[in-house]
Amino acid sequence: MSISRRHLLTGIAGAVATNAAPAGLGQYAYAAVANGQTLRAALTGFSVMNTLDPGKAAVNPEFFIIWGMFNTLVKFDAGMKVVGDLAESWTNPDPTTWEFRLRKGVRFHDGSEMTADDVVFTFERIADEKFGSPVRKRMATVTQVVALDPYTVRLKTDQPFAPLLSALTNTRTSTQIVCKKAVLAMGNEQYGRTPIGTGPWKLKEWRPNERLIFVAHTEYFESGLPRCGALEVPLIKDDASAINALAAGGLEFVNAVPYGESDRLQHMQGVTFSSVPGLNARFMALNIQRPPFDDVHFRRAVSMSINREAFVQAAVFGQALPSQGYIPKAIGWAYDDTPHEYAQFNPVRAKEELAKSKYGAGTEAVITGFPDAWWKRMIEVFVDMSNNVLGVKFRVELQDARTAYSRWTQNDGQAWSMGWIALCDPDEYLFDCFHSTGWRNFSKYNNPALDKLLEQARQELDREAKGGPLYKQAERLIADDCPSVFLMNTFSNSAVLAKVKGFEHTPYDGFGAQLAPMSIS
Amino acid sequence: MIGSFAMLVVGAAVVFLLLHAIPGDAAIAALGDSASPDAIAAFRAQHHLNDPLAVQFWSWAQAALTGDLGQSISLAGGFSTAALIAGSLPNTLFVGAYALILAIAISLAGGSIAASRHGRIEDVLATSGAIVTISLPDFWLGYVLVLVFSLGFGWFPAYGFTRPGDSLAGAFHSGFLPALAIAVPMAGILSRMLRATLLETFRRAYVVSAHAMGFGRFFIFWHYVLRNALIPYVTAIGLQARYLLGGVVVIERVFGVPGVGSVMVDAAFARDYGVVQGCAVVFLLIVIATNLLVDTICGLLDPRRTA
Repeated sequence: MSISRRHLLTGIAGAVATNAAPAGLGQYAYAAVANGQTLRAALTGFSVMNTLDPGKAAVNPEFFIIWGMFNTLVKFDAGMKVVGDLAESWTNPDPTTWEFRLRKGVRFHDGSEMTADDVVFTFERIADEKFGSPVRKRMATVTQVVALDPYTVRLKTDQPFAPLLSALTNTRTSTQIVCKKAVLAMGNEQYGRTPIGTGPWKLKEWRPNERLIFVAHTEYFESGLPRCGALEVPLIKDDASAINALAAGGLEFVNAVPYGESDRLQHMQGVTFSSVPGLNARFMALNIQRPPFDDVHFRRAVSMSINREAFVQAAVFGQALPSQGYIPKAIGWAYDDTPHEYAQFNPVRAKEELAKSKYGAGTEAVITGFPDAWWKRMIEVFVDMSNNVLGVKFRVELQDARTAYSRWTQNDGQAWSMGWIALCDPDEYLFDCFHSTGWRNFSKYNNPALDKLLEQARQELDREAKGGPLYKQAERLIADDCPSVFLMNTFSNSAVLAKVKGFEHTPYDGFGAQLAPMSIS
Repeated sequence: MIGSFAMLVVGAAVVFLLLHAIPGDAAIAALGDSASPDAIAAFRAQHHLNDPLAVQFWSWAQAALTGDLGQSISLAGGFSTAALIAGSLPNTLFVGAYALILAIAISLAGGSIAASRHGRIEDVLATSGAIVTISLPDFWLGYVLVLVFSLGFGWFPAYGFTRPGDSLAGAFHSGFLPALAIAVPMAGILSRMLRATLLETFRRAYVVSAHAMGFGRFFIFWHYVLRNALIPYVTAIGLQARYLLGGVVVIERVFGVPGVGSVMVDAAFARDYGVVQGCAVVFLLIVIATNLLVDTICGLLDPRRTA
């Protein structure tokens, strides 16, 4: 089905280029509000959103929306540097103490002022086991949060924990500051459907499985933002449809352009295409507890059998960087660009390693993955390359993403095609996934030297100068053992109508965070 | 009535069992892939997902009997299943009815012309047109319609549907392409059906004798042929109407019609058991109602049945 669609859409390109159709989304129902235009920004590839409570949010589309409705203490700027958001400044009186000085006069959507009380409430709420934040353990290192005065908050951690700052920027740590008054007034469940935040967009209506409608938060603390008076976010499951809507002028912004469409959009008139390497890693996670991937030589052989440059072309139309490790290039200070032997395509060396392993040519294995878009090609190309070079007999098994993922978490299978987007500290990639106690280390990889290194790096408050070299070293230790075969770091591709001004593409892909400065000319 | 009720119960139970037979978990759907095991365990406990299947089904059925279809747990947390269906069913019904009307209009014209001009060029055109439209995959047709009428001429939106409640004119405008994409293949089937029954009726003895009595061609067609030929045609429409409910999910996706089929599919992927079952029950009710309606119309058309 997807192939016929793609061929068809390639054909559409010519017809589209010169046409500016007036028809569009919501043209009947929602006229632009008085103070400006309505920005229509589609979330593509998703139609399900379960909650908008930052404390409960768990999946990407929820995070994408929360970025636009809430603020954190600190945030990343476009250059991936941590800057203040709700906090103006911060200090470390000692390695386990963080003091944040809050901005004054920040208003929630209900008009009340955000103070230290709300910050304390936010952290206590997610630490409360009964509340059931899916990421409670992620912030478990924070042992105490105190309001020193209405505009100063002190956080204590149980040990020096350098990644804290980047964790605080993040939607995946539930640390968006919620409105204490509103949560207490409406209760947690209702707050998940009608949340009150400090962000540029105030929720007007949530139509499940269809769209979300926002109005500008007129008291937003960043002056002049948001530039549009209203925002509509249709949830478009079928990404080809989203591109059609953009081409017809029925949308201003599409957050995720399918890789097969990237070339077409680059040449489409009236559309600005934007591409940056994302903060992700795409890899084959190997079950190192079970044959044949329990043998390090076999794993190295497989890794060296993959021509990553060709892989990127075949799997995602060249819309990725080949990768040899977990940490993406966007985190430059921790990114190891020295070529690692086992991550280089080398059929001769691959066969030598195969000869050293317990398993030979003809070894069978099932690689589990999901059927969605390029994920399917990723696994097929991988299997094809390994089978061709090594003469092994790998086989593809496709299951829906949730099933495949839940099997991985139970170590049920031999290998899985997987990805990870961490936001945005190297610790979240390496410690979580390869430390012997890492919560995402499902195949129980255990390397004491690596553990020591990661524990040390985590305490290094001078992230870049002192932490960086440690993470690069850790990446090399992991690459020696190949517990996963790293393949690529895919691009984040967005498309926006040329008449839209103010779009700045951030590598962390925080959909809702990018919309406030956008205006339509 | 008892038969219909039994059908409902059996249908709900089958959907329930099928849903639980597929691997996957509402907890992972709701909590995402970074959820810790204890959060998943707490979620399962909170929503009684660890209870034996029979217990889960019984508590669902008890509530459903009192009209309470429960709440979504992993599709749109906290929204009631009834609200999700109420928000999406009118869109499905609107586009479905719209498509059905288009399909009936096209097929009545196509089938009648083909039959009355049997063997001539109009017949060949109408018949081959019908075969082509039956053979087109509907999602492909959807994209072609977008290509031509939206991206090409700019007459209709490429994506998005205005709810009838927000603007009826908007609904007719934005719903036209999806309705047409659904209607065209259906019209192909229906017009072939109508052509065949019309031709058969033309050869009936009473029609031949009407000709012999010297009645006009149109008089005969209207009074002797069409009404009799409509009975199998209406039955066929009834069968097609069922397809409108669930089978148009692809079209809903292509055009962004927020219909109940999309809700059900998303709920199934999210393993939101209660919502899937709620949708299934509504579907069953509609199918039962459609059957009743078809039987009634056939009765009206055929005096022998009502006599």
